[in-house]
Amino acid sequence: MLLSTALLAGVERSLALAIDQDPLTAQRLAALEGRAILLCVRQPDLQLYLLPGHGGVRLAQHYEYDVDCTLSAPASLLARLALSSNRQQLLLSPELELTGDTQVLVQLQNIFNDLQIDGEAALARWLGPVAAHALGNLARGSRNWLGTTRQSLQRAVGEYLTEEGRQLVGRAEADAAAASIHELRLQLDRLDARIRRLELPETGPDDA
Amino acid sequence: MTDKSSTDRTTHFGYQTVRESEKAAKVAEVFHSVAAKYDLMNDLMSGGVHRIWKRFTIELSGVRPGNRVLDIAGGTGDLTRKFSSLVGPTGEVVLADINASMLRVGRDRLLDKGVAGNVRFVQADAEKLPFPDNHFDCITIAFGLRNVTHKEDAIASMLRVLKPGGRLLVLEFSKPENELLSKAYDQYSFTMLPLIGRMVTGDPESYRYLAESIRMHPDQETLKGMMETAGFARVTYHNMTGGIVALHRGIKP
Repeated sequence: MLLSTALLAGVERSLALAIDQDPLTAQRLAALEGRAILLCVRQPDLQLYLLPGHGGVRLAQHYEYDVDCTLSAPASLLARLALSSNRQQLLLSPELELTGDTQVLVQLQNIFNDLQIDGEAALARWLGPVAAHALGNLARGSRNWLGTTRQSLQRAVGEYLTEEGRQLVGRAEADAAAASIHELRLQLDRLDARIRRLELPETGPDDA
Repeated sequence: MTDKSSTDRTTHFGYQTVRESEKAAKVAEVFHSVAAKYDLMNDLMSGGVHRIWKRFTIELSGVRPGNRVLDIAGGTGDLTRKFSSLVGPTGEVVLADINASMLRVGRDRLLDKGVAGNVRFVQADAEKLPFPDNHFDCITIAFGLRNVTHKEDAIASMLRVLKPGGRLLVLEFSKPENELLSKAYDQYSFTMLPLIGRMVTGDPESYRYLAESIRMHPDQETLKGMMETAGFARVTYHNMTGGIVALHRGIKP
């Protein structure tokens, strides 16, 4: 119990530090004061309450009042939901249960999506504005370079595998094949349904 | 006649037996001596774990915006600071302590951290709380009850000032559940605590009193019984760190 309480205190403190760097996020969270979201994690079983409000989001294992929204899912799915950029797809997963006022969860999710941590301002507090700006430029330059390099590498590898190595088909070709397979699957489903209907014993008007 | 019998009655001050009328002054002496370095000592003695015990207390308090909270023996204001942000501008937190030095340190520390507006500071005796009946939504007393001379009177006084449905949370040292842990804890308390006290505050006696007073404090079940006898309902307790500390909670019916 104490370990999880300590862990939650650490996470809560980190969140508060991040939120401190973005005043707009703090304001938007304050608007959710009094709302409560319950996360029911399965495998391992854990209950966690998210209580947004002034100054951040409180994380608690005990909360005695009604919650606005309950999100129940396995830990692996919740982790993917937190890290993935394609959350809408994950929200449709049959393993996930969402009850109550889902808008609260969506609002909280949007607030954290929009969180922009001003690391330069935090550094300036310790190092002064000139050194912080120089380090900020270096960090931004490195991030841009990494982003461009990643995109370029993806493109080059893709081109090599499709055009040079002939290991994979092109995207257009793959999309067309996937559409054909999908259409074929639908036709098979229809055929299957028709056969099952034909197999049913005929019922005359007298049987009704 | 009554006065005479009250001065003749004795109570414990650590392992010593003293007259009841002397205990409060002796406890005050201890806390006057340690007030300035109280927080540092708490961190050193507990390895910082006291913050987790207090965090758990806050979780179980169920305090919400607009609530009125009384933090008895609030000392340097750890709990008050958190409660102040939880109750918001529409609520109120009263930090009460019988010891002026502790209260002064707590008030200065909270003001330095910008905690003001919804916090009041009151020097008060837990046995005779100077508040109206049915006044608070929640009362906490963290590491304070064992220093009170008449614990039953203090619990009854807290019951009186709580609103019906209000919660009392008593965070206090208790009895370890495991014998081995109990032995190790005794060794630590009677050798390390006075040593740390001597190094940091130059006052090993105060920390010897701390170790002794913990042994003299009622164990989990006894304190639960005392709260039930006073009139609290749904009394439960949670052991923390193997029972070294226990959090008791009762509801005023």
